[in-house]
Amino acid sequence: MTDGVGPVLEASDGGRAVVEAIRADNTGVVVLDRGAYLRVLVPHRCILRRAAIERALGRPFAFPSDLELVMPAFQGNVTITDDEVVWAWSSSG
Amino acid sequence: MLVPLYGFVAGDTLGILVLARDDETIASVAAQLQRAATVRVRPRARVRVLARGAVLDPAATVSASGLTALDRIDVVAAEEP
Amino acid sequence: MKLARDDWFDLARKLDWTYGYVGERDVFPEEASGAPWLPHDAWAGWNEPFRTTYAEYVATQAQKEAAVHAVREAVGRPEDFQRHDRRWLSALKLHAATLPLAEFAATIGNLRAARFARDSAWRGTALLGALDELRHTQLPLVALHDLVKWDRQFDWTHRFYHSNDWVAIAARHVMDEMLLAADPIELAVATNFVFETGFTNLQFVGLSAMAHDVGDRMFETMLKSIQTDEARHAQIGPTVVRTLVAHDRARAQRLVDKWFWRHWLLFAVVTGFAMDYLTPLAHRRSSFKEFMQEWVLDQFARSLADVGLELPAYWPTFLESLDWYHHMVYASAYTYRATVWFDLAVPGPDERAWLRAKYPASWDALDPVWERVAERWRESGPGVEWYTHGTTPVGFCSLCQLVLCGGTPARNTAQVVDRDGRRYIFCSEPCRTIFEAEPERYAEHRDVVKQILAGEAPANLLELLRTHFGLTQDEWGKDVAGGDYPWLRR
Repeated sequence: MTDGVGPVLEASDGGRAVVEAIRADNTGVVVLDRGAYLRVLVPHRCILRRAAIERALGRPFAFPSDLELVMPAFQGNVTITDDEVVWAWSSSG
Repeated sequence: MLVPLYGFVAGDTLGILVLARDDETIASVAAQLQRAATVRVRPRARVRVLARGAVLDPAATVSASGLTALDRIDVVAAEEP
Repeated sequence: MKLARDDWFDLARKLDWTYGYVGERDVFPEEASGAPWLPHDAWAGWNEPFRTTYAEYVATQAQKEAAVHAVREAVGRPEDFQRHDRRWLSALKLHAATLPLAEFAATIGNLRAARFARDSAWRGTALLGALDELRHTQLPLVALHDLVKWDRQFDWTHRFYHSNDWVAIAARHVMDEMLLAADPIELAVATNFVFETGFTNLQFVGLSAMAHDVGDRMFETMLKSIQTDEARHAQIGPTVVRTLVAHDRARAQRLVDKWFWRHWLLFAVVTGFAMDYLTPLAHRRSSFKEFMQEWVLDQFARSLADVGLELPAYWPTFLESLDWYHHMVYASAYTYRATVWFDLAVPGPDERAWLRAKYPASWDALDPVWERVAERWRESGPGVEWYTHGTTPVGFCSLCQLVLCGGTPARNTAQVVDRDGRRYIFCSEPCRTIFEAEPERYAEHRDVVKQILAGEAPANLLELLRTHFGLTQDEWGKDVAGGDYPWLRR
């Protein structure tokens, strides 16, 4: 996927909850399982909602700190607010 | 007088420093270089020596061949272009 | 009523005022703050999207530290490391020497940016970045210190950057320039934009996948935890680059071109060795080239386009070198293994078959070298290290300071160049281009060969590595199996 954006997550409960939340709110989601990490790629724009993570995880999840704990890398330009994270390329591929 | 040269044997993975004498023949320098590379490339019986795009006369000396300090020389198989 | 973070944090980040009693150039001299020197307004839009308050930073970092130290308690003891394959331990030693103290240089570079970067939010982010890098220095030093008593090669975790080993010279050459001598603008391009969003991910996240498969939970956890800091502070990069492109696109392009190539060479050695030769075959998930594709190629081109820059002119050379360069260096290093502080392995028939499958374009030209090495081991029998070891000094590139391994075994791209009455040799055209763009930065450096020819270092290899490189007999690299491989015995 040349235009893919999204986070790289550790394979923990928190990381997997983030993957679930991304699957819930985006289409065309690809998840590559590398054992030590999960790479999530969405074409051109990926939205992650804190509320969706909390639903998947069953406990509170803060942005950006709890995301930072489980995310060693990401691809695409990121925008972070208290409730949403968006990865996107600013120009079209 | 010693003339240090950067030597490259065809098939080898890196450039080696060889300390030639200015009155040493090119054939002798080539043999020295092949010995230096022997752990990675089996020495060839027949070789050509190239420097600055030209084939060197194996019987000529380093100085007569116009080689100066830190020139590059290549030892290649005699058959190859 | 508690304010939500989004409601107040912008005010807390953007704190600059217009100076009334001193000039802006007095506070931020160009020499310290970097070129091009733009009016403050040009930097006012500087924006790091991945933000953290000080309070969040302290709390989050404490959690990360607690998690890593918990893993260290559980699986990071010397006896846990002792059960690993010796090749994997060599990958750890290579990482340990080259990266932790470089992180301390990054601390210093970030502190310069914390004082001299032209926007307050940038300075604040760099300050936290400096603290991150201090963590990245101390964590591996602590984790690996326990192993020194058991294996002296781990002492090179600290000693490497203080030594004159040829790899240390090459590492200092790039780290000193990138981290210590760079102004905040060049630091942001070289480190945050190029190094941290591509190459360190390769080593810290890509390699963590290998660590996972090998069963090295300590190293895996430490690497990923370190990289969560990097994901945050690397965001200094794109925003600086965008402003730079808007005002001096040519400079932005030159900096990206220079640093991408320089980082490529370093990581080809550090990560290339680890992934394709030092990770035991059974645990190799992907090849180095495949990891480069995933972590660097796929996203680098896209992110360059995103900030309005082009691929470097040497891109075709770089793409070709993915099939060759780290293989050339590894074979060379194997036959000069006493000049490094870790042991190396001969790839056996199974490894060579894997390498052939992963590198079909180049393996035909590389395999004969390993055939020859195996032949030499058969001739000498196990235990005879010198029979598969080079005895003469080798050349080093006048720019990157690495061995002359550019091109292919049939066509080495090393080129001799005369300028200003001195002779230089470059391993490749990009190294030459980088040198010639800023000769005043590089021309005076005296590499190992020049030191030998000037009588400042011994020409005898054994003396060189003892007295000049600082290696003792029990520390210098040997074959991991002493040449006693099952597949070699007939």
